[in-house]
Amino acid sequence: MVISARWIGGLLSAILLAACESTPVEVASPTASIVVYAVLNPDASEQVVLVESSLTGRVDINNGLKFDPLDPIRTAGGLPISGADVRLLADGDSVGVRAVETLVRTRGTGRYVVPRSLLAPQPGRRYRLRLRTADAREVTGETMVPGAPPGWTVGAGAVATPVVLDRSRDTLQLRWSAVRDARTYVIRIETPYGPWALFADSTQFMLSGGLRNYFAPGLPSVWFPGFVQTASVVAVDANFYDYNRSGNDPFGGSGLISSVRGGLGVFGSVVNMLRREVSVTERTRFPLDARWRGVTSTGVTAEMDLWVDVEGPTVSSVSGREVTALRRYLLGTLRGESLRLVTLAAGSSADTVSVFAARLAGDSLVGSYDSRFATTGARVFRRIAR
Amino acid sequence: MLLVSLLALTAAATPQPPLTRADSLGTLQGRVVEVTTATPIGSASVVLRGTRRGTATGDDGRFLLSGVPAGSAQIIVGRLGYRTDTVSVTVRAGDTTTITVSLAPSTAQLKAVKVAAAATERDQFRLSGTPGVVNVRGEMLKRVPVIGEPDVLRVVQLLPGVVATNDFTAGYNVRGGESDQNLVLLDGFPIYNPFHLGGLFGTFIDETVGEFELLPGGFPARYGSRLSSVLSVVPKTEERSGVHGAASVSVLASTLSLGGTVRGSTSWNVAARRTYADRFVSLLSERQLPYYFTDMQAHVRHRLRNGGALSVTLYGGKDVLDASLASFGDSTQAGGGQLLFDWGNTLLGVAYTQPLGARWGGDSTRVMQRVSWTGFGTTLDLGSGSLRFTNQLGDSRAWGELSRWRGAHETLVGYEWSGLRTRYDVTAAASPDPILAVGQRPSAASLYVDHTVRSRRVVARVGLRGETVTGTGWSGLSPRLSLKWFANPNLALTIAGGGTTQWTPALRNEQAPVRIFDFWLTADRNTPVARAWQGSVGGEQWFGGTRFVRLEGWAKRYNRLPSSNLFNDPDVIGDEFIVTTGQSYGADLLVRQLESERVSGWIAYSFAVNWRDGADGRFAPVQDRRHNLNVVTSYRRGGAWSYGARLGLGTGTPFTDVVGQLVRRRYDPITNSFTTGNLDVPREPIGGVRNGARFPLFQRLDLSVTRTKPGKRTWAPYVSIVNAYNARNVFTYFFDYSDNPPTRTAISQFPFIPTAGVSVSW
Repeated sequence: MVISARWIGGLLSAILLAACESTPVEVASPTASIVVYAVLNPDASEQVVLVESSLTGRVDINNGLKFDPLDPIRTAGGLPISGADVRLLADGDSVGVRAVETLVRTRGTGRYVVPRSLLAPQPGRRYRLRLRTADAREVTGETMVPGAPPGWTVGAGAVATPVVLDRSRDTLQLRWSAVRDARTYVIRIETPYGPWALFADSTQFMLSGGLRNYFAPGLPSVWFPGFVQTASVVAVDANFYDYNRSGNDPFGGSGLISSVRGGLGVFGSVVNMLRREVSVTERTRFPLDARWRGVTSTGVTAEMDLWVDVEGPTVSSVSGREVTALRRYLLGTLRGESLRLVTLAAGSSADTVSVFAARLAGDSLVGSYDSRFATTGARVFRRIAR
Repeated sequence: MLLVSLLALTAAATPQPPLTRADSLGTLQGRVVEVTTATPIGSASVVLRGTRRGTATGDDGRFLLSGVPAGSAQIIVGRLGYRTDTVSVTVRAGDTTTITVSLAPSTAQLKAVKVAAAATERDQFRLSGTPGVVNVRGEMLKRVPVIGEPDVLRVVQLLPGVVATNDFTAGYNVRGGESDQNLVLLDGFPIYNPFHLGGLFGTFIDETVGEFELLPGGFPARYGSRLSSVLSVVPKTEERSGVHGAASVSVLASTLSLGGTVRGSTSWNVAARRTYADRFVSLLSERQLPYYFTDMQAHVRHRLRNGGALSVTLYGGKDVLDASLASFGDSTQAGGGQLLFDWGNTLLGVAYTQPLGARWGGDSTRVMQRVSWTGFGTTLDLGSGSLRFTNQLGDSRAWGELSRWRGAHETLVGYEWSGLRTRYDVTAAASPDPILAVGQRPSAASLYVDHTVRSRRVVARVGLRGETVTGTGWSGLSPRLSLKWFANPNLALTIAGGGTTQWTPALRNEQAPVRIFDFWLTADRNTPVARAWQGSVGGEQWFGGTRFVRLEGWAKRYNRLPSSNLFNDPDVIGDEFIVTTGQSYGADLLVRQLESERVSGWIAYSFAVNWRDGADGRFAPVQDRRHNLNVVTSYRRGGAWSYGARLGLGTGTPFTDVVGQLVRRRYDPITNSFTTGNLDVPREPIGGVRNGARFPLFQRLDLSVTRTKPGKRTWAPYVSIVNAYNARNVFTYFFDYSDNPPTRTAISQFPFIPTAGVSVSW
């Protein structure tokens, strides 16, 4: 009910916003709140706590920065709180382990870490968070780390060898053991358009090949032919679940369930139950579904596998992967015989390395590269047997 | 200033009729019966010859006509299926003259006899024990300026005691109540979610509306399952021979309605409406507007040989937003997969009434039985079953009543049984089990009794309603009392009070200013049956037969009021609502000129104070508009031109101020990092004190002009302007705290909107 109401509200909000908007007027800056993000993960080499300020309009936020995981607050539209005393405490511990703030050059990032050597959270144990800012404001929280199946060790459950999924006919079945103190489980698939994730109380889940990502605009596929995608199951505590299932509605600004006292945000915990690498493929359906070989200007052979991902009425989406060299992922669109192919740096559609615009002519792809990105690469590709 | 000018204009344009002294008027009352069996004849027209004054008999054959000039007069009495009779009477000044008119059956057809609007309201004043009732005829709908086409719910919003929270909703709040506390009836059968296009328009096809009546409180014991009000929409009944109809085209939709009679004893009406913006856009552009709505309504009434009547009412309406996802996305992001988003109402109702004459004692007795099935359903399917939400509500109902009249006493005993079924399902193609499946199947049974005594000076009504709802462990009694005392034939003082209950709350975020439709649930062990107590004191003064002033003060107290829980866990059944209490009090003023005159309309002013007490303390609900004024006027010139105007003024409704923003970060267990996803930085508002701020003053002037060309076909083109001087009424605010200085941007309600249309009737 909450999901559908928000989706509907969002749709209508978009429609109405297109209506009658007036000139912005200045308002007073309110009092800032402390916002904390911390999720304990026994599998992680370090525990991370983000401490930032709510936005109050006292500072201009730079939204054009490239995301840096070591400076995640400032580079993702936030205002870090530096110099805070952040501690994680195990049950019975009154002093705790002090987290060290990550610095970029000499500037504090609001990212505080505790390495495993100082604190290794254990499944089934309770932990507390206590932080005090330089201006003596205090935030506290508490979490019970979900239990783990018998024989669990760090990194257990991960299977390195990829499972092959022909999405035109296969279904991926995931099974795991129930554990104590888990509020629920999160089934998650990493896609180039962001994660697809769902809460599930059961201990098994079937993921069909034709799954659509209803968390991303346009509902793209979840499985992309040519990609190796990670499917994982994570046991989560109640704090994590409540935070992620709730949110402040755009009109009333209420609804978010915070699990910290003295501020907003989340202090929760997760335990990785299983992880699978899934190599996605698809049967051949369209002329573009083939392996393509080209030669660069320096004589290097380049090959890539391409598939039409989703056929649309006028535009079809395309996915694939380089077969040789760096084996980077490819996403694109096909409009008639015009192909636009983007090479990704990693698995995210946001990291573009090069853009290739080509024309499909029989057994050939002939094109050129967008000069704003890398322009080395074969310009002519010919179809070969996959 | 504008209000004063408007009133001055209205007064100047009104030709004043010669004054009639109250002491030269009398009252005519009586019964119309069948000549051989003495069976009462209901719905017979009784018209004062040479005037437009008249009334219609009730089901017991009785009528009352006040303000009749003393002396000799003739009344014309007629009814479909009977010979029209003209009766000479002598009316005594300051006194009541009683007659009995006997009509003989006839197969001859009647022309439709127009009954002056004055009669109905005046009858309400004299006979009804329910205070504050407002009755509006169907033709008045066309005289109120509109966006698109005439709308019952938009006119209801202009009545005293009624608040609309903004322009984008056709929903309404009555005397401080929430918007799901209003019982909406079509021909006596309930309808849930009577809205289209996200609450922008109502579902009633204006051509089918004979009249509607709003009971804003103090309603009789026969009505249950809602706390605040009853809106009863009565379809037109065609009484003319042949087939008649009307068609209309507006910028919003096209409507066709047809009606006729069969052998003088059966009348039928059928109507349909469809919007066509989707077709229009597709003709002009490659883009799609994949939305439309349709309505279909049918009504058949058959007069039985023994004076009874059998009627069937059908309604079906649907909003459809079905599209290929590719039509929504940008051209570089391919789609595929369908989006289905449909919602709509269905209604089937059968009613049987039968006068039993004097066999059961008393002067006459009547039995009524109704059965109905009402459904509302919605389906949201994203990506051909990838994720699918469905909500279904079914209400099966049986309602029976025995009425008995004996002299000045009228006694009603009745029962009502309703079987409710609600179902909410969330499924995903990827999951073999449903993600959410919630169903409820309670039943509610009620017994009620109502006794009314009418004398020359007093109308007193005492009622009691007993109810029980399965699955809740709840049963209760709701007394309903009212007393009307006539200081003189034109001035009455009223006092009323009683209890009401509701076991079907709607799950809705009241903070959201847009109301697409309501998700209805039912009370159970986790969600209590809501209860309210209300009382009112007032007075009504008539000036002649067509003008009156009514002032009523009221107070309400809510106990166990379910309010949507914003933090509810979809995994947990039973936490959808939290229980609040609340109070409201205020006063409503209505100054009304009925439609029988060249100038008609009303001035409705309401004052209200509302609060609710919840877990986080006391707050004002979103419908707490402290002062609300609506001036609605219509001027008809020469029978061809009709001008309408509406001026609305209201103090601001509450909203929750935004006191900052936070960046919404998500934990990635694969990389052990916090990201904002693949999108732009998502920011969420941080709300301040709940409903602690107020929007600025609301003001809006709407104008319309209609030209009627009577003939074999009557054409009536119209032009309407909503928000004639483009007042910027705030709908909501959006804040940006990421810039220095922080800013607030207002999103406005309706701008200046001209619309036009034309209707033709034959």
